[in-house]
Amino acid sequence: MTLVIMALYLGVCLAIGVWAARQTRTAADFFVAGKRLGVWTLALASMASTLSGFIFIGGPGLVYTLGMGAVYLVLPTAVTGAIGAWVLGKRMRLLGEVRGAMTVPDAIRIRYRSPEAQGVSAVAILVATVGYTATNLLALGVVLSSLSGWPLGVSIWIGTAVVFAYSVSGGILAGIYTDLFQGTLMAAASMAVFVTALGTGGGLAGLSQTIVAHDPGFLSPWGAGTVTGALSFYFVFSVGTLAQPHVVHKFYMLRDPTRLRWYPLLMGAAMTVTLLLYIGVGLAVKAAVIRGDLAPLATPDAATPTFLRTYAGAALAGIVFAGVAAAIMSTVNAFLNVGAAALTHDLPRAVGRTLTDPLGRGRVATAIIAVLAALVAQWSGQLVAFLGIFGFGLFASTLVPALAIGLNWPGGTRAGALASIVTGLVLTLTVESLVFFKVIALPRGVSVAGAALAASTVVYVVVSALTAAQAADVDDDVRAMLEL
Amino acid sequence: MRRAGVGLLALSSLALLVGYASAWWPSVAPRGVALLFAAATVLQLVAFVLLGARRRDGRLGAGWMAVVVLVALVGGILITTAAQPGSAEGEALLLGLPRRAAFVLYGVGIAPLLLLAGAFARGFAAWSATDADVARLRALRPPSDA
Repeated sequence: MTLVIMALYLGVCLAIGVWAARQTRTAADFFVAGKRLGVWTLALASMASTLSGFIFIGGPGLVYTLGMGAVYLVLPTAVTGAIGAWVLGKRMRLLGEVRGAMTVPDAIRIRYRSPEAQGVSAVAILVATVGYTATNLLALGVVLSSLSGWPLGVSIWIGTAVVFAYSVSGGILAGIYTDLFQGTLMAAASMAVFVTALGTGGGLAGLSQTIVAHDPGFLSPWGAGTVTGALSFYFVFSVGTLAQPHVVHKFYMLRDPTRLRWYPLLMGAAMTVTLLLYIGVGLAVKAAVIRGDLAPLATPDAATPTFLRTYAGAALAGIVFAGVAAAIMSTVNAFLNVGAAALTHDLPRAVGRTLTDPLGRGRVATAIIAVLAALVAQWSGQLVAFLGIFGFGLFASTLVPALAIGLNWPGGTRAGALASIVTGLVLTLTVESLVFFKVIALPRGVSVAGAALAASTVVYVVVSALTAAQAADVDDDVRAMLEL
Repeated sequence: MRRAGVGLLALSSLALLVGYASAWWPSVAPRGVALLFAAATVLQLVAFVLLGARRRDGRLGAGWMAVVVLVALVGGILITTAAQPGSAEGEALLLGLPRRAAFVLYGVGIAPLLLLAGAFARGFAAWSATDADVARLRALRPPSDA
């Protein structure tokens, strides 16, 4: 039954890809869906590409381990929709409409009249994209392998082939409409699992009573982690969300700007519903282990599979595993798209070139990144985990100041943007590498992503102040846009 | 408004860096660092509202509602709980969770969604760009991009 549901799910994704391929005629169709999305589609697609497989597998394991401390990673959902729309929605939409901007590095180039800033930000996006995509393809391989019994390597390539098929043929248009299907599936799976989870231990109150009686720190406001660790999660995942290129570039795609009015509510509600599983499974498994109904988990990541095997029927398990695959594939597709745009659009423009046949080259670039990421997922062992660690943080530390502050502050300068992007890139890559390879150890609660984001923000403001004369060197339409 | 927003961003980022650096000095009181982190994180969010929700007339309009929600609700809960660490033993349940955890989950994780989205929708007409704005920007495009 589980395999049948998975096969049905993959078939629907491929069918959407075939349909979208027929609708994709230009590079604008391929990279920004022809700017024809409605607000419901935008909200669900943004939710689906924001939430990766981590929310279904790693997240419940984190709640099982840290209790309330892990919840700070998802609490920002309540504020990021509105703040993101205020900070980026209007201005990115205007840059798309007035200047034809299609990517985040496009917005940075136009804002600062700086092809160099476009090039450096595209490099940061490419580095993070390959790593994040590889991690997600590995996770997809693990899910398919556990369901089918196929070897992991084979499963990675089958999963890659499906995402590849609809991403290459239909670009972001296929991605958006599979996101719509996948987002709905993720939300439905999450709600069903949450209700099942509450039913395992006498509702939320019953689960809480069981846990507090055995481990009162687990459901204290900060859980089993440190206060600074929890608040670092909140800082990085609230402010860092303002520059995740695979999410914010969707602001270019809205058909009618007036519909943005309801985007924060719809996006936030969709995210909240889908995150119910994150908290519900973590608490239910913790309580079940305390009651002795389940053996302690060998690894935290076993929380969701163990829960499904024990408490869910075959149909629900099939829907949830399809939901996991959906979460992973929607994120992979979005990354393939921004990576291909960085390779075929941003980097050539940074060196003053425009490629011919951008649609064809976009498809080729998508294929190259997908194959490269699948090879990394299959052969690089621990490197995959390492690459996956810093994706979100790298986007945040390199892009938040230049994009989110720069589109709202006329005082930001080209030098400030370049300095902040380089600071984020160097700090994140260097310190994460040193920590991963155990050259240095950081005290508990210190987050590389958080520190790099704070440092690149300070660098942006200070360098912009020191080069204030550059602030006037912007195009007239950009100056007028900054005043709106 | 924008100057205040950028100033807040720089100061709160510096505060966060100081907070991270203090992890190497065990003599620093953890509760003080926790309070610093809670305040700095909320100020970051307030700063982005000051920058992004500003209308063309320079006023914040419905954005003030977001500032109040962030400072009073999110900041209030995070700072209060940072000041009172400790286990949930003996705490009464509220909506299925120990009282303080419930304040965090529902007060920081759910209520702001409705309040901020409401503020955004309420101030949308005065904040958003019009067709006339788009036409004016198009007329100002540099010749190479026109």
